[in-house]
Amino acid sequence: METQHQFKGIRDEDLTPEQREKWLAFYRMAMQRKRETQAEMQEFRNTPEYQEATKRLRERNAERGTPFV
Amino acid sequence: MQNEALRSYDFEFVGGSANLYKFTTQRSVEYDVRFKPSADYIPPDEPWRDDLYELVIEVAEAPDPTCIPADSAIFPTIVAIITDFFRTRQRVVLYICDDSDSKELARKRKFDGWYTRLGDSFFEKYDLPTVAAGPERYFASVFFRRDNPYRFAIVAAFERLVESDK
Repeated sequence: METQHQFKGIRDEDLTPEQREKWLAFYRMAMQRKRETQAEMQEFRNTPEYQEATKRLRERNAERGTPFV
Repeated sequence: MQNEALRSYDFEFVGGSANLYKFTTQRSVEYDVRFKPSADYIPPDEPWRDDLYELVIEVAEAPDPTCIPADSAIFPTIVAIITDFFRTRQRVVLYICDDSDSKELARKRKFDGWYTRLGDSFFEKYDLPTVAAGPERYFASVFFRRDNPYRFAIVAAFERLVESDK
């Protein structure tokens, strides 16, 4: 049945040296973007919507007496 | 009694275009979980590309940022957040294990362990190749719902990702 199909993933041992270099370049670019996203997230923490959400969560956790649900 | 390994934290969706959730642990460590739109990784002719997001998990605040304690409730919480993000529509999530503190292998093992424990009934995980070069070591996976109508196209697009010379 189609919904039971399992994707195997790309195995690194199947890569040619050229493909490995391209994946390496992809990951380096992606990690650079990740650093930029992390910097954006730091800035976002100063916004009113972020601080409101923090307050709502802290209030809920305080009312419950635990951060667990 | 609730199984300790299944406990998770309450979380809040911050909202707006940031696609950001947050939660706080019992040791007052605050985490941010963001799904950043990432359509530009994928060629424009793929109909699902606007539903591609990159998952980024960050410690926002901690009593001692130099020492973040291990906590078995974090990964169940992240799984609950991912499930919430997928609840309303089909999405595709790319997760690249952060290598900045040399704990990328531990992160991959935790994600793999949680995927196994989920029983993979809701999500499908597709592993991208592990690539290492000297001290650099990269692990990444793509997640999507099992009922995503583009699931084969998604996998094919990632397989072709490095074949494009763009």
